[in-house]
Amino acid sequence: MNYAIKKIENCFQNAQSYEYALPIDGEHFIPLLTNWEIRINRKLRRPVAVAQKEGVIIKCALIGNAFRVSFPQNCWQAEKTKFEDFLEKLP
Amino acid sequence: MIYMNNAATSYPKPPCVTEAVAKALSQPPGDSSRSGIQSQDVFEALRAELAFWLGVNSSQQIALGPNATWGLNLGIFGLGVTAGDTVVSTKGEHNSVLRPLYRLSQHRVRIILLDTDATGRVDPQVWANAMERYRPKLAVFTHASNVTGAVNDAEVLTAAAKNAGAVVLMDAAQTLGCIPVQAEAWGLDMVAFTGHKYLLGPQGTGGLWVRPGLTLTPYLLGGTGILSDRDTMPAAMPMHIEAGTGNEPSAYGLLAALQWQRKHPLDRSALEAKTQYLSHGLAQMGAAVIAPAGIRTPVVSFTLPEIPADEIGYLLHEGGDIICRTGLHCAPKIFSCLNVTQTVRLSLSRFTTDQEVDAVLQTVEGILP
Repeated sequence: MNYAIKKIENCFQNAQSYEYALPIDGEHFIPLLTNWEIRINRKLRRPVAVAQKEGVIIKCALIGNAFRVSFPQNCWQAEKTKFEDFLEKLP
Repeated sequence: MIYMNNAATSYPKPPCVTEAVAKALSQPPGDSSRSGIQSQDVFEALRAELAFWLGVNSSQQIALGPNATWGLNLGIFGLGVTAGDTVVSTKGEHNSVLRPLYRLSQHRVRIILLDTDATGRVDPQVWANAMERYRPKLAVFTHASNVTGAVNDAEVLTAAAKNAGAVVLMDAAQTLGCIPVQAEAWGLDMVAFTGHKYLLGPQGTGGLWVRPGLTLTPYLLGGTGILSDRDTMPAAMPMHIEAGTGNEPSAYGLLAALQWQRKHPLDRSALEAKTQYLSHGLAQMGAAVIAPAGIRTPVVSFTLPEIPADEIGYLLHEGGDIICRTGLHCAPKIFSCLNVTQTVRLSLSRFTTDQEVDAVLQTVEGILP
């Protein structure tokens, strides 16, 4: 799966957050996350999902194709590589 | 979209602001006429209008620049604070004060940052004690915390600092246009301000008022359009500290905003009521709300149990189309006083409606587990 990526800055110098634009929306991407802890909030005007696994947190609107991904500070490079490998293997 | 980030930049602006900026951009710049008697000098008109808002008679002492940060840097570095001097300020300050002070500390200036109370307000007794103890050359405080909205008693803080012989610089970025400022009556020496928050002007407007008789060393040097055959900046204010071409289109915009606000005065009690309603509503649903007593700006900072502030901000934005700010709000030192690590900040404006406040409350309720 192709993707575009942009680093997201916030108040904290060690934060490692990135936004990924994918060719599918959250509704179709979230089911691909097997063995992740997933919370979907459908009480909001636009439903939003938050998925967590091994310190990696993915947030997305179910109807959107922008995915905010935060990686743990102590191993962000390894986790980022792993996540991007996972994306690249998706059809 | 519901805009609740007015403590950063106000939105919307009165329509006349857009019109004034567009008109200015479509006409030749003012300096092309070389200040003839018939030419309109928007900067002079703006200074005169700002003098009303700042509570000063000396409009020529108002230097215009891009923002409050510019004004604060001019004030802090222009005073001639040197090694061995002391500057007293507070942990409630924005990085636009803190970072210049850190620079001074690298030059062996002693920097004392006083705690605020748990709502972000400076305790006048703590401040007065510090003034007596440290006898600083410069005292700097924010008129209101940009994190909590707590407004400081500027007159009392200024009097204590003046009694100790300090020059007093106040950051009015969070208050001018929202909370009355009386710079001369309160005895202030300098006030930095910005045009793009509660003054309702465009980004890229702001400045520094300097009390008559106080001379700063210019922090920026450059062209002034006059006295160009001299090697130094003109001695007279505001040119003394106002180098470079001004932001004329935005000056027209800010002038229009100020004139509009004079015709349509802010209903502070209505805005306060909305702020309180939001604050109470959040507290009732279990949020930890920082609720300053007394005078405050229309800012509500809060956290929710077990949900990180950045996630709340994301859910508000993506799930409810609500624009707010999360994190440290460029005021990192205050959080040790507030006993939280970061907050979600909602900041209202005179244009915020009751329906928008209710929609925010409903959305936050939807975020709760």
